[in-house]
Amino acid sequence: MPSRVVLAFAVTVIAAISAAGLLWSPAGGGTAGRSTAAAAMTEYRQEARSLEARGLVLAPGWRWPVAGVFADSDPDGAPMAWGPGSGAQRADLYWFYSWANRAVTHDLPPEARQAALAQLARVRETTYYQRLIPDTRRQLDAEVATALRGDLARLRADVRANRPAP
Amino acid sequence: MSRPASATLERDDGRGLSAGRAVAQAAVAGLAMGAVAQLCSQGGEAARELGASTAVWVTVGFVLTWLTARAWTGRDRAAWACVIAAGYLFAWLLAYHALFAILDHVPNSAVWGEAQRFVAAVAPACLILGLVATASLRDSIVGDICLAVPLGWSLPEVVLAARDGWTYALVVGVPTLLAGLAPLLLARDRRGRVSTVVIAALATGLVVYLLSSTVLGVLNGYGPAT
Repeated sequence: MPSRVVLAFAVTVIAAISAAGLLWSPAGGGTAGRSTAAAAMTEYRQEARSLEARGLVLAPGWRWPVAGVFADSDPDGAPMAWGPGSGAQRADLYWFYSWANRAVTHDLPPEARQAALAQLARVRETTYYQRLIPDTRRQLDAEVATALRGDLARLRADVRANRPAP
Repeated sequence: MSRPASATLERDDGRGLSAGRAVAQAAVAGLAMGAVAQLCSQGGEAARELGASTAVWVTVGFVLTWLTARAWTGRDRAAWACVIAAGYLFAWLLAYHALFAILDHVPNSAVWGEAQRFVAAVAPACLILGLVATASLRDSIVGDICLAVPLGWSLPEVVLAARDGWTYALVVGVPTLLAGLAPLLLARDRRGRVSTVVIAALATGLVVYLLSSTVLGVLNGYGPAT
């Protein structure tokens, strides 16, 4: 077979695969890689189960929300689409903030605070952490490390700004 | 029976290497590197950083492309270099994400959602790798600049790793730096201009540093909503 034909075929294959990356979404959402609120919620529940199976349970007093995590539409009524991994990310963050919130509680006994901080260090086992870009991962590592050393200021600010409602 | 020159690469030992075989070799290398990267990502903190890094794995693909382009004796060298780079990158992504799905028990649809932006980025990336690799073979100032580009795109990750301490510097920074230097070391028989190489590497490093958070942010799905 003439080399230019093979070359043209190879270029076509490369373009087709790259185009699939851009356009093809098995979830069937309107935007590539996006999914509906229901699909994101399914992923959320799967991640919650996966966390519990790995011993990453929620902090005392926290329970997994059964609904209302992902909106179907925005305030204008337009349908919302959720990015890939949104469900897993939100579940992992919910788990993380359950323990972060406990760790920064003022009247918590020292041993309970240490136990909460030990849980926080396990954030590295979560899908959320593993998918972070390096810079954000470093920031999270630093936040947990300073908390483990006894300086809770950074963790407290994070909890104030980002903690979901229990 | 000898192959037609137009479809044949010439190895150093004088034996022909078909373009198909070169692409297959690049794919095998990509599979191996992707698997190593994912295994690193499952390891300790510094190893995880190495697995999640970009420059070192892309540079391995560049070196492979550069070596193949250098051995090329037929026509369409630049185009085949791009194809070889694509073969490496696609295979890397396949191995990295397939292993991620297996080891972390992640559903295929979620893995595809994670991988698809990178898959889409292969087309422009293989053009850059193939064209830069081919241009770096020129014995001119353009060749010197192109030869320094991999070192340049490696520098930001080397600096960031060094900033994080000795462990990260050793586990992430050293391999990344060595990979970035590999094209320069492999082309040491050429009389390149040191000042040109240094300036080109620093300029590339600066551009990549300024663009990396935006580009990686979009690739990781944290970019502006579309």
